[in-house]
Amino acid sequence: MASRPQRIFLGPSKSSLQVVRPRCRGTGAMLAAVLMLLIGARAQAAEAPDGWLDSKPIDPIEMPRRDIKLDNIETQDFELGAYGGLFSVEDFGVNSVKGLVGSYHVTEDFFLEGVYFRSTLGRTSFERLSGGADLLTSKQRDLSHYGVNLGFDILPGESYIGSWATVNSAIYLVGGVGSTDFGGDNRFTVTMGLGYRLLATNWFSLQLDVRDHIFQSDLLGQQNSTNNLELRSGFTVYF
Amino acid sequence: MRRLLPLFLIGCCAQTAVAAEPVKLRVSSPFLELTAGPGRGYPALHALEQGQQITVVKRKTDWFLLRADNGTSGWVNRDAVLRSVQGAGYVSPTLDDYGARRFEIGMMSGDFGGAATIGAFGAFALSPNVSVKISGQQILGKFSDGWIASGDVVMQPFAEWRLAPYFTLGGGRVRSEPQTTLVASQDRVDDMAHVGIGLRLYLARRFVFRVEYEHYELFTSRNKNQEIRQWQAGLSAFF
Repeated sequence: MASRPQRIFLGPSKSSLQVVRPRCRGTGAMLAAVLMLLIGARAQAAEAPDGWLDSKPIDPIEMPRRDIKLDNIETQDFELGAYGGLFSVEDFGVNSVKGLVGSYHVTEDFFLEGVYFRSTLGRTSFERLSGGADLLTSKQRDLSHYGVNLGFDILPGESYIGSWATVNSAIYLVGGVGSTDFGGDNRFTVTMGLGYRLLATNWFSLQLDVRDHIFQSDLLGQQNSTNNLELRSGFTVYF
Repeated sequence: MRRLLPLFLIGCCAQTAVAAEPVKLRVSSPFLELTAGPGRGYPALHALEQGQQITVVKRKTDWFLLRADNGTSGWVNRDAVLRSVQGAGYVSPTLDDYGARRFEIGMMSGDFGGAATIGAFGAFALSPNVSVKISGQQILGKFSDGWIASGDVVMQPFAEWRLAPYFTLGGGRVRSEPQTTLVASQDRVDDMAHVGIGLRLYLARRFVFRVEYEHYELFTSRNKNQEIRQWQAGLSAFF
Protein backbone atom coordinates (compact mmCIF):
# COMPACT_ATOMS: atom_id res chain seq x y z
CA MET A 1 0.00 0.00 0.00
CA ALA A 2 2.99 2.28 0.46
CA SER A 3 3.18 2.68 -3.27
CA ARG A 4 -0.40 3.94 -3.61
CA PRO A 5 0.33 7.69 -3.80
CA GLN A 6 2.73 7.17 -6.67
CA ARG A 7 0.26 4.96 -8.42
CA ILE A 8 -2.43 7.57 -8.19
CA PHE A 9 -0.21 10.35 -9.41
CA LEU A 10 0.91 8.40 -12.37
CA GLY A 11 -2.70 7.87 -13.31
CA PRO A 12 -2.62 7.46 -17.07
CA SER A 13 0.37 5.20 -17.22
CA LYS A 14 -0.11 1.49 -17.49
CA SER A 15 3.55 0.78 -16.93
CA SER A 16 4.66 -0.91 -13.76
CA LEU A 17 5.82 1.22 -10.88
CA GLN A 18 9.42 0.05 -11.13
CA VAL A 19 9.70 1.33 -14.63
CA VAL A 20 7.98 4.57 -13.99
CA ARG A 21 9.39 5.62 -10.67
CA PRO A 22 12.82 6.72 -11.95
CA ARG A 23 11.12 8.94 -14.50
CA CYS A 24 9.14 10.48 -11.70
CA ARG A 25 12.23 11.11 -9.61
CA GLY A 26 13.90 12.62 -12.61
CA THR A 27 11.08 15.06 -13.02
CA GLY A 28 11.27 15.92 -9.35
CA ALA A 29 14.96 16.53 -9.55
CA MET A 30 14.52 18.70 -12.60
CA LEU A 31 11.83 20.73 -10.92
CA ALA A 32 14.00 21.08 -7.89
CA ALA A 33 16.93 22.17 -10.01
CA VAL A 34 14.88 24.86 -11.73
CA LEU A 35 13.67 26.11 -8.41
CA MET A 36 17.15 26.13 -7.05
CA LEU A 37 18.31 28.19 -9.98
CA LEU A 38 15.51 30.63 -9.43
CA ILE A 39 16.12 31.17 -5.76
CA GLY A 40 19.84 30.55 -6.22
CA ALA A 41 21.87 32.40 -3.66
CA ARG A 42 19.33 32.28 -0.91
CA ALA A 43 18.97 28.53 -1.04
CA GLN A 44 22.71 28.08 -0.88
CA ALA A 45 22.86 30.34 2.12
CA ALA A 46 20.82 27.70 3.95
CA GLU A 47 23.92 25.49 3.75
CA ALA A 48 22.41 22.06 3.67
CA PRO A 49 25.09 19.69 5.00
CA ASP A 50 24.67 16.92 2.43
CA GLY A 51 24.14 18.91 -0.73
CA TRP A 52 21.14 20.67 -2.22
CA LEU A 53 18.91 17.60 -2.50
CA ASP A 54 18.42 17.46 1.24
CA SER A 55 17.11 20.96 1.46
CA LYS A 56 13.98 19.67 -0.34
CA PRO A 57 12.69 22.89 -1.82
CA ILE A 58 9.87 20.96 -3.36
CA ASP A 59 8.75 17.39 -3.16
CA PRO A 60 6.70 16.35 -6.17
CA ILE A 61 5.14 13.42 -4.33
CA GLU A 62 3.80 15.67 -1.59
CA MET A 63 2.49 18.34 -3.90
CA PRO A 64 -0.83 19.67 -2.62
CA ARG A 65 -3.81 18.36 -4.53
CA ARG A 66 -7.04 20.00 -5.33
CA ASP A 67 -10.00 18.52 -3.55
CA ILE A 68 -12.52 16.93 -5.80
CA LYS A 69 -15.81 18.30 -4.63
CA LEU A 70 -18.06 15.34 -5.19
CA ASP A 71 -20.51 17.25 -2.99
CA ASN A 72 -21.07 19.56 -5.92
CA ILE A 73 -22.20 16.81 -8.24
CA GLU A 74 -25.81 17.06 -9.26
CA THR A 75 -27.91 14.82 -7.03
CA GLN A 76 -31.16 13.09 -7.85
CA ASP A 77 -32.53 12.12 -4.47
CA PHE A 78 -35.90 13.85 -4.85
CA GLU A 79 -38.86 12.55 -6.75
CA LEU A 80 -42.08 14.40 -7.62
CA GLY A 81 -45.08 13.15 -9.53
CA ALA A 82 -48.78 12.76 -10.08
CA TYR A 83 -51.12 9.81 -10.30
CA GLY A 84 -54.66 8.72 -10.94
CA GLY A 85 -56.59 5.66 -9.91
CA LEU A 86 -59.49 4.13 -8.07
CA PHE A 87 -60.33 4.54 -4.41
CA SER A 88 -62.79 2.30 -2.64
CA VAL A 89 -64.25 3.85 0.50
CA GLU A 90 -66.23 1.45 2.64
CA ASP A 91 -69.99 1.96 2.03
CA PHE A 92 -69.38 4.74 -0.49
CA GLY A 93 -68.44 2.73 -3.56
CA VAL A 94 -65.42 2.91 -5.82
CA ASN A 95 -64.51 6.33 -7.17
CA SER A 96 -61.74 7.95 -9.13
CA VAL A 97 -58.82 9.49 -7.30
CA LYS A 98 -56.15 12.03 -8.32
CA GLY A 99 -53.04 12.70 -6.32
CA LEU A 100 -49.59 14.21 -5.97
CA VAL A 101 -46.61 12.44 -4.50
CA GLY A 102 -43.13 13.61 -3.49
CA SER A 103 -40.31 11.46 -2.14
CA TYR A 104 -36.84 11.84 -0.76
CA HIS A 105 -34.53 8.86 -1.13
CA VAL A 106 -32.52 8.63 2.06
CA THR A 107 -30.48 5.57 1.14
CA GLU A 108 -30.60 3.12 -1.71
CA ASP A 109 -33.18 1.18 0.33
CA PHE A 110 -35.27 3.72 2.23
CA PHE A 111 -37.31 6.72 1.17
CA LEU A 112 -39.65 9.20 2.81
CA GLU A 113 -42.81 10.05 0.95
CA GLY A 114 -45.49 12.72 1.18
CA VAL A 115 -48.83 12.14 -0.54
CA TYR A 116 -51.90 14.29 -1.19
CA PHE A 117 -54.95 13.03 -3.05
CA ARG A 118 -58.60 13.91 -3.67
CA SER A 119 -61.62 11.87 -4.50
CA THR A 120 -65.40 12.24 -4.48
CA LEU A 121 -67.57 9.74 -2.66
CA GLY A 122 -70.52 7.97 -4.25
CA ARG A 123 -73.83 7.19 -2.58
CA THR A 124 -74.16 4.41 -0.06
CA SER A 125 -76.57 1.56 -0.73
CA PHE A 126 -78.61 2.85 2.21
CA GLU A 127 -79.07 6.18 0.45
CA ARG A 128 -80.01 4.52 -2.81
CA LEU A 129 -82.53 2.13 -1.24
CA SER A 130 -84.16 4.64 1.07
CA GLY A 131 -84.81 6.82 -1.98
CA GLY A 132 -84.14 10.31 -0.71
CA ALA A 133 -82.54 10.98 2.65
CA ASP A 134 -78.87 11.62 1.85
CA LEU A 135 -76.33 11.09 4.61
CA LEU A 136 -73.94 13.67 3.26
CA THR A 137 -74.18 16.92 1.37
CA SER A 138 -72.35 17.10 -1.93
CA LYS A 139 -69.60 19.16 -0.31
CA GLN A 140 -69.17 16.52 2.38
CA ARG A 141 -68.62 13.95 -0.36
CA ASP A 142 -65.38 15.63 -1.37
CA LEU A 143 -62.59 13.62 0.14
CA SER A 144 -59.02 14.76 0.60
CA HIS A 145 -56.11 12.95 2.18
CA TYR A 146 -52.58 13.82 3.06
CA GLY A 147 -50.03 11.51 4.57
CA VAL A 148 -46.38 10.83 5.18
CA ASN A 149 -44.91 7.39 4.66
CA LEU A 150 -41.67 5.54 5.04
CA GLY A 151 -40.84 3.32 2.07
CA PHE A 152 -38.49 0.40 1.69
CA ASP A 153 -37.36 -1.09 -1.63
CA ILE A 154 -37.67 -4.79 -0.91
CA LEU A 155 -36.98 -6.07 -4.41
CA PRO A 156 -34.76 -3.75 -6.43
CA GLY A 157 -33.67 -5.14 -9.77
CA GLU A 158 -34.30 -5.08 -13.47
CA SER A 159 -37.37 -5.76 -15.57
CA TYR A 160 -37.31 -6.95 -19.15
CA ILE A 161 -39.82 -5.55 -21.62
CA GLY A 162 -40.04 -8.08 -24.41
CA SER A 163 -36.63 -8.55 -25.92
CA TRP A 164 -35.96 -4.90 -26.68
CA ALA A 165 -35.58 -3.15 -23.35
CA THR A 166 -34.09 -3.74 -19.93
CA VAL A 167 -35.10 -1.19 -17.30
CA ASN A 168 -34.35 -0.75 -13.63
CA SER A 169 -37.27 -1.40 -11.36
CA ALA A 170 -38.17 -1.99 -7.73
CA ILE A 171 -40.96 -3.41 -5.66
CA TYR A 172 -41.37 -1.43 -2.46
CA LEU A 173 -43.36 -1.43 0.76
CA VAL A 174 -44.72 1.72 2.33
CA GLY A 175 -46.26 2.46 5.69
CA GLY A 176 -47.23 5.69 7.38
CA VAL A 177 -49.81 7.99 8.91
CA GLY A 178 -52.04 10.68 7.54
CA SER A 179 -55.33 12.50 7.72
CA THR A 180 -58.41 11.85 5.60
CA ASP A 181 -61.04 14.58 5.41
CA PHE A 182 -64.60 13.81 4.34
CA GLY A 183 -68.09 13.90 5.75
CA GLY A 184 -67.20 17.05 7.69
CA ASP A 185 -64.51 15.33 9.66
CA ASN A 186 -60.75 14.68 9.64
CA ARG A 187 -59.85 11.07 10.29
CA PHE A 188 -56.49 9.85 11.53
CA THR A 189 -55.38 7.35 8.92
CA VAL A 190 -52.85 4.54 8.93
CA THR A 191 -51.61 3.61 5.46
CA MET A 192 -49.92 0.42 4.25
CA GLY A 193 -49.09 -0.46 0.71
CA LEU A 194 -47.09 -2.21 -1.93
CA GLY A 195 -45.80 -0.60 -5.11
CA TYR A 196 -43.86 -1.24 -8.27
CA ARG A 197 -41.57 1.38 -9.79
CA LEU A 198 -40.26 1.20 -13.35
CA LEU A 199 -37.44 3.59 -14.21
CA ALA A 200 -37.90 4.38 -17.88
CA THR A 201 -34.81 6.61 -17.71
CA ASN A 202 -32.60 7.76 -14.85
CA TRP A 203 -34.98 10.63 -14.16
CA PHE A 204 -38.44 9.37 -15.16
CA SER A 205 -40.35 6.56 -13.52
CA LEU A 206 -43.73 4.89 -13.83
CA GLN A 207 -45.43 3.57 -10.73
CA LEU A 208 -48.20 1.18 -9.83
CA ASP A 209 -49.43 1.08 -6.24
CA VAL A 210 -51.95 -0.66 -4.04
CA ARG A 211 -52.57 1.01 -0.69
CA ASP A 212 -54.83 0.31 2.24
CA HIS A 213 -55.97 3.38 4.20
CA ILE A 214 -57.35 2.43 7.58
CA PHE A 215 -59.47 4.95 9.48
CA GLN A 216 -62.38 5.11 11.89
CA SER A 217 -65.80 6.00 10.55
CA ASP A 218 -69.12 6.46 12.33
CA LEU A 219 -71.13 7.77 9.41
CA LEU A 220 -73.43 4.76 9.38
CA GLY A 221 -74.20 4.93 13.07
CA GLN A 222 -71.52 2.75 14.57
CA GLN A 223 -67.89 3.70 15.10
CA ASN A 224 -65.78 1.11 13.36
CA SER A 225 -62.43 0.75 11.69
CA THR A 226 -62.63 0.69 7.88
CA ASN A 227 -60.17 -0.61 5.28
CA ASN A 228 -60.20 1.51 2.15
CA LEU A 229 -58.24 0.28 -0.83
CA GLU A 230 -56.62 2.53 -3.38
CA LEU A 231 -55.33 1.27 -6.73
CA ARG A 232 -53.32 3.76 -8.68
CA SER A 233 -50.76 4.38 -11.39
CA GLY A 234 -48.70 7.45 -12.12
CA PHE A 235 -45.35 8.91 -12.99
CA THR A 236 -42.60 10.72 -11.13
CA VAL A 237 -39.64 12.79 -12.15
CA TYR A 238 -36.33 12.65 -10.27
CA PHE A 239 -34.43 15.83 -9.59
CA MET B 1 -13.39 -9.11 -4.37
CA ARG B 2 -13.22 -7.31 -1.02
CA ARG B 3 -9.46 -7.45 -1.06
CA LEU B 4 -9.38 -5.85 -4.43
CA LEU B 5 -11.51 -2.92 -3.37
CA PRO B 6 -8.80 -0.91 -1.65
CA LEU B 7 -6.87 -0.99 -4.90
CA PHE B 8 -9.77 0.53 -6.64
CA LEU B 9 -10.06 3.52 -8.71
CA ILE B 10 -9.27 6.67 -9.92
CA GLY B 11 -6.25 8.82 -9.78
CA CYS B 12 -7.51 12.23 -10.06
CA CYS B 13 -6.62 14.61 -12.72
CA ALA B 14 -9.31 16.94 -11.56
CA GLN B 15 -9.53 19.79 -13.93
CA THR B 16 -11.27 22.10 -11.54
CA ALA B 17 -13.35 21.94 -8.42
CA VAL B 18 -15.89 24.40 -9.74
CA ALA B 19 -19.40 23.00 -9.55
CA ALA B 20 -20.50 23.92 -13.03
CA GLU B 21 -17.80 21.97 -14.80
CA PRO B 22 -17.90 18.20 -14.98
CA VAL B 23 -15.54 16.41 -12.63
CA LYS B 24 -13.08 14.30 -14.60
CA LEU B 25 -11.23 11.47 -12.95
CA ARG B 26 -9.01 8.66 -14.00
CA VAL B 27 -9.29 5.02 -13.01
CA SER B 28 -6.24 4.03 -11.02
CA SER B 29 -7.20 0.52 -10.00
CA PRO B 30 -6.63 -2.43 -12.35
CA PHE B 31 -10.30 -2.31 -13.30
CA LEU B 32 -13.56 -0.76 -12.14
CA GLU B 33 -17.01 -2.28 -12.45
CA LEU B 34 -19.98 -0.13 -13.46
CA THR B 35 -23.34 -1.51 -12.37
CA ALA B 36 -26.72 -1.11 -14.03
CA GLY B 37 -28.39 0.71 -11.16
CA PRO B 38 -27.73 2.78 -8.06
CA GLY B 39 -27.98 0.00 -5.50
CA ARG B 40 -26.73 -3.33 -4.26
CA GLY B 41 -27.57 -6.28 -6.40
CA TYR B 42 -27.68 -4.59 -9.78
CA PRO B 43 -25.52 -6.51 -12.26
CA ALA B 44 -22.19 -5.12 -13.44
CA LEU B 45 -22.53 -4.03 -17.05
CA HIS B 46 -19.10 -2.69 -17.93
CA ALA B 47 -15.57 -2.80 -16.63
CA LEU B 48 -13.27 0.16 -17.06
CA GLU B 49 -9.52 -0.24 -17.41
CA GLN B 50 -6.82 1.45 -15.47
CA GLY B 51 -6.08 4.87 -16.84
CA GLN B 52 -9.42 5.37 -18.57
CA GLN B 53 -10.83 8.86 -18.15
CA ILE B 54 -14.30 9.17 -16.68
CA THR B 55 -16.78 11.94 -15.95
CA VAL B 56 -18.89 12.00 -12.79
CA VAL B 57 -22.39 12.74 -14.04
CA LYS B 58 -24.65 12.66 -10.99
CA ARG B 59 -25.32 11.13 -7.61
CA LYS B 60 -28.30 9.16 -6.30
CA THR B 61 -28.13 8.50 -2.55
CA ASP B 62 -24.68 6.92 -2.13
CA TRP B 63 -24.09 6.01 -5.76
CA PHE B 64 -22.34 7.96 -8.50
CA LEU B 65 -23.13 7.72 -12.19
CA LEU B 66 -19.86 7.64 -14.14
CA ARG B 67 -19.44 7.99 -17.87
CA ALA B 68 -16.31 6.89 -19.67
CA ASP B 69 -14.95 8.70 -22.69
CA ASN B 70 -15.88 5.78 -24.91
CA GLY B 71 -19.55 6.29 -24.00
CA THR B 72 -20.10 3.47 -21.52
CA SER B 73 -21.73 4.53 -18.29
CA GLY B 74 -22.83 2.97 -15.02
CA TRP B 75 -23.06 3.34 -11.27
CA VAL B 76 -20.31 3.05 -8.67
CA ASN B 77 -20.74 3.09 -4.90
CA ARG B 78 -19.44 6.09 -3.01
CA ASP B 79 -17.02 4.00 -0.95
CA ALA B 80 -15.33 2.68 -4.08
CA VAL B 81 -15.00 6.21 -5.45
CA LEU B 82 -13.74 7.69 -2.18
CA ARG B 83 -11.13 5.04 -1.55
CA SER B 84 -9.29 6.03 -4.63
CA VAL B 85 -9.55 9.81 -4.68
CA GLN B 86 -7.15 11.41 -2.25
CA GLY B 87 -8.63 14.42 -0.54
CA ALA B 88 -12.03 13.83 -2.11
CA GLY B 89 -14.48 16.46 -0.98
CA TYR B 90 -17.50 14.26 -0.49
CA VAL B 91 -17.96 12.88 3.00
CA SER B 92 -21.39 11.79 4.05
CA PRO B 93 -22.72 13.71 7.05
CA THR B 94 -21.96 12.42 10.53
CA LEU B 95 -22.99 13.19 14.08
CA ASP B 96 -20.43 16.02 14.11
CA ASP B 97 -22.41 17.72 11.39
CA TYR B 98 -25.45 17.66 13.64
CA GLY B 99 -23.65 20.06 15.96
CA ALA B 100 -22.93 22.31 13.00
CA ARG B 101 -26.46 22.19 11.61
CA ARG B 102 -28.36 25.36 10.68
CA PHE B 103 -31.81 23.99 9.97
CA GLU B 104 -33.77 20.94 10.90
CA ILE B 105 -37.11 19.92 9.42
CA GLY B 106 -39.20 16.94 10.39
CA MET B 107 -42.55 15.39 11.06
CA MET B 108 -44.03 13.87 14.17
CA SER B 109 -47.07 11.90 15.13
CA GLY B 110 -48.49 11.02 18.49
CA ASP B 111 -51.21 11.29 21.08
CA PHE B 112 -52.61 14.59 22.40
CA GLY B 113 -54.85 13.93 25.40
CA GLY B 114 -56.42 10.92 23.68
CA ALA B 115 -56.54 12.33 20.16
CA ALA B 116 -54.10 11.45 17.40
CA THR B 117 -51.85 14.19 16.06
CA ILE B 118 -49.80 14.61 12.89
CA GLY B 119 -47.45 17.52 12.60
CA ALA B 120 -44.45 19.10 10.96
CA PHE B 121 -41.78 21.37 12.37
CA GLY B 122 -38.86 23.48 11.31
CA ALA B 123 -36.03 24.55 13.62
CA PHE B 124 -33.24 27.06 13.30
CA ALA B 125 -30.10 26.42 15.38
CA LEU B 126 -28.74 29.47 17.18
CA SER B 127 -25.92 27.33 18.56
CA PRO B 128 -25.29 23.57 18.77
CA ASN B 129 -27.24 23.58 22.04
CA VAL B 130 -30.04 26.06 21.52
CA SER B 131 -32.51 26.27 18.66
CA VAL B 132 -35.84 27.93 17.96
CA LYS B 133 -38.59 25.84 16.50
CA ILE B 134 -42.00 26.43 14.95
CA SER B 135 -44.47 23.64 14.48
CA GLY B 136 -47.96 22.97 13.23
CA GLN B 137 -49.99 19.92 14.17
CA GLN B 138 -53.34 18.58 13.21
CA ILE B 139 -55.46 17.01 15.96
CA LEU B 140 -57.61 14.09 14.87
CA GLY B 141 -59.82 13.11 17.78
CA LYS B 142 -62.86 10.96 18.18
CA PHE B 143 -65.06 13.87 19.19
CA SER B 144 -63.19 16.88 17.97
CA ASP B 145 -60.54 17.89 15.48
CA GLY B 146 -58.31 20.91 15.46
CA TRP B 147 -54.82 22.17 15.19
CA ILE B 148 -51.92 23.35 17.31
CA ALA B 149 -49.52 26.12 16.27
CA SER B 150 -46.51 26.60 18.47
CA GLY B 151 -43.20 28.43 18.77
CA ASP B 152 -40.59 26.84 21.04
CA VAL B 153 -37.09 27.16 22.35
CA VAL B 154 -35.26 23.81 22.38
CA MET B 155 -32.24 23.22 24.61
CA GLN B 156 -29.87 20.32 23.99
CA PRO B 157 -27.12 20.38 26.59
CA PHE B 158 -25.42 17.31 25.10
CA ALA B 159 -25.82 17.82 21.36
CA GLU B 160 -22.65 15.81 20.67
CA TRP B 161 -24.13 12.60 22.07
CA ARG B 162 -25.65 10.06 19.73
CA LEU B 163 -28.58 9.56 22.11
CA ALA B 164 -29.21 12.87 23.83
CA PRO B 165 -31.94 14.40 25.98
CA TYR B 166 -33.46 17.79 25.18
CA PHE B 167 -35.88 20.22 26.77
CA THR B 168 -38.52 22.43 25.22
CA LEU B 169 -40.39 25.50 26.34
CA GLY B 170 -42.92 27.26 24.18
CA GLY B 171 -46.28 28.82 23.57
CA GLY B 172 -48.92 29.09 20.92
CA ARG B 173 -52.53 28.38 20.12
CA VAL B 174 -54.79 25.37 20.12
CA ARG B 175 -57.97 25.30 18.09
CA SER B 176 -60.56 22.62 18.60
CA GLU B 177 -63.44 21.92 16.26
CA PRO B 178 -66.01 19.49 17.62
CA GLN B 179 -67.21 17.02 15.03
CA THR B 180 -70.21 17.92 12.99
CA THR B 181 -72.08 14.81 14.01
CA LEU B 182 -72.24 16.19 17.55
CA VAL B 183 -74.78 18.90 18.16
CA ALA B 184 -74.52 22.47 19.38
CA SER B 185 -70.85 22.73 20.13
CA GLN B 186 -68.66 25.63 19.19
CA ASP B 187 -65.17 25.94 17.79
CA ARG B 188 -62.69 27.17 20.32
CA VAL B 189 -59.28 28.83 20.11
CA ASP B 190 -57.16 28.93 23.24
CA ASP B 191 -53.72 30.30 23.98
CA MET B 192 -51.39 27.77 25.53
CA ALA B 193 -47.93 27.29 26.98
CA HIS B 194 -46.05 24.05 27.22
CA VAL B 195 -42.92 22.44 28.59
CA GLY B 196 -41.45 19.19 27.40
CA ILE B 197 -38.65 16.70 27.55
CA GLY B 198 -37.44 14.46 24.76
CA LEU B 199 -34.81 12.03 23.58
CA ARG B 200 -33.06 12.48 20.26
CA LEU B 201 -31.28 9.61 18.48
CA TYR B 202 -28.91 10.27 15.59
CA LEU B 203 -29.65 7.57 13.00
CA ALA B 204 -27.38 8.04 9.98
CA ARG B 205 -26.45 10.61 7.37
CA ARG B 206 -28.77 13.58 7.90
CA PHE B 207 -31.42 11.76 9.90
CA VAL B 208 -32.58 11.96 13.46
CA PHE B 209 -35.29 10.11 15.37
CA ARG B 210 -36.93 11.63 18.43
CA VAL B 211 -39.49 10.85 21.11
CA GLU B 212 -40.95 13.56 23.30
CA TYR B 213 -43.38 14.28 26.07
CA GLU B 214 -45.05 17.68 26.37
CA HIS B 215 -47.22 19.13 29.09
CA TYR B 216 -49.69 21.75 27.79
CA GLU B 217 -51.49 24.37 29.81
CA LEU B 218 -54.49 25.75 27.88
CA PHE B 219 -55.65 29.18 29.02
CA THR B 220 -59.36 28.70 28.42
CA SER B 221 -62.08 31.28 28.80
CA ARG B 222 -63.55 29.16 31.57
CA ASN B 223 -62.53 29.43 35.21
CA LYS B 224 -60.01 26.66 35.12
CA ASN B 225 -57.08 26.11 32.82
CA GLN B 226 -57.02 22.84 30.97
CA GLU B 227 -54.01 20.55 31.18
CA ILE B 228 -53.21 18.18 28.35
CA ARG B 229 -50.36 15.71 27.90
CA GLN B 230 -48.83 14.83 24.60
CA TRP B 231 -46.56 11.97 23.56
CA GLN B 232 -45.09 11.92 20.11
CA ALA B 233 -42.35 10.43 17.97
CA GLY B 234 -40.94 11.45 14.64
CA LEU B 235 -38.19 11.73 12.09
CA SER B 236 -36.24 14.77 10.99
CA ALA B 237 -33.45 15.78 8.66
CA PHE B 238 -30.86 18.49 9.33
CA PHE B 239 -28.96 20.73 6.95
